[in-house]
Amino acid sequence: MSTPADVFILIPAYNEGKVIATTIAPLLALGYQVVVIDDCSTDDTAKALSAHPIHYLRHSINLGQGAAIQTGIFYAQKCGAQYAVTFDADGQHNYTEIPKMLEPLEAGRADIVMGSRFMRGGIAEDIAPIRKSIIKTAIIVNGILTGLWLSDAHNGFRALNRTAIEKIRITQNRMAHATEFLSLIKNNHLRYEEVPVHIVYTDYSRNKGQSNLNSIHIVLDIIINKIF
Amino acid sequence: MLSPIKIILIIPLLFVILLFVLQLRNRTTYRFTLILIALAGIVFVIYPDLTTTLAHKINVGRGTDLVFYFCALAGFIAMIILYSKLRGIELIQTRIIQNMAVDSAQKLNNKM
Repeated sequence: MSTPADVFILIPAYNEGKVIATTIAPLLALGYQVVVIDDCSTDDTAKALSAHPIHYLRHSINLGQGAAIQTGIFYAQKCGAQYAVTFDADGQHNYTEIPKMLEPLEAGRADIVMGSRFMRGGIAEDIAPIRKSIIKTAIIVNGILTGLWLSDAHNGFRALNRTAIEKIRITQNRMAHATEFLSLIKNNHLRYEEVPVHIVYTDYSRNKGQSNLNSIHIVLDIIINKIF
Repeated sequence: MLSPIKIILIIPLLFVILLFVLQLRNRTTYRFTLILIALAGIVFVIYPDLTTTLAHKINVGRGTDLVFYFCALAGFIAMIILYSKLRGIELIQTRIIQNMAVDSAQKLNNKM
């Protein structure tokens, strides 16, 4: 059975100065290893973190969420982490569900666990209808492109064991990394499971998050990446 | 109904795409292709009437048009090669920045 200190929570952050301290506080209180990967923020994200006992990494130029997550994975590997959890900086994810995400890994049933808003027991609270439609479409696109048919797409709440930490190598710097993740699972023959999670869409996260139009760019990135 | 020139241009274009998907960063392939294109250019410069002869054989009106079509093809190939190289450079840049971030990870309040 793992202890919280064995678990590295990887939080990619770009201009999250307003919320990052609130997001990491309960994680620190529970004893997790909190790793914030600052993707060259231009606001006071670094200042907001300075008083907290965290692992702080910073990109010298803005690369994107996919690159930040991979940086976190590299760091977790270097530190000998047994488990890593990718966690959003904007407060959408529920820290109380981390043990539920880790359970399949600890039981040895999976190498990667992915949170799902849409399976039985999952909740996407206050999600805009058009966003939900786009995600549902993305689920189909992901399935066609990667061969993995999941109940959710582009959910940043994931847990990895040591095997996955050592094998996952994201090359898509921006938001297309979520689909690439599925390809990496398949190509590396990683065992995976989905777990229902509760995602909360606040006004902040809706305003901060990617625009619906960006989904077109994501699909193009995915297709081009497939070719090249 | 596709005219002969269209079929002639589409088939090798498809083949080139397939070839380059498999060999995009293979230096030999792309150098060989560049040499072939340059040699073809040299031949057409020395024998300009050859373009007209070839054009008529494949139902293209003028030699100039034929040269234009093949230039467009060459430009497309060049774009594919360049994009592939840019992707490679982008990945190298990303890995350098990631390594720098990991190596310079900071203890904040003596966490590490």
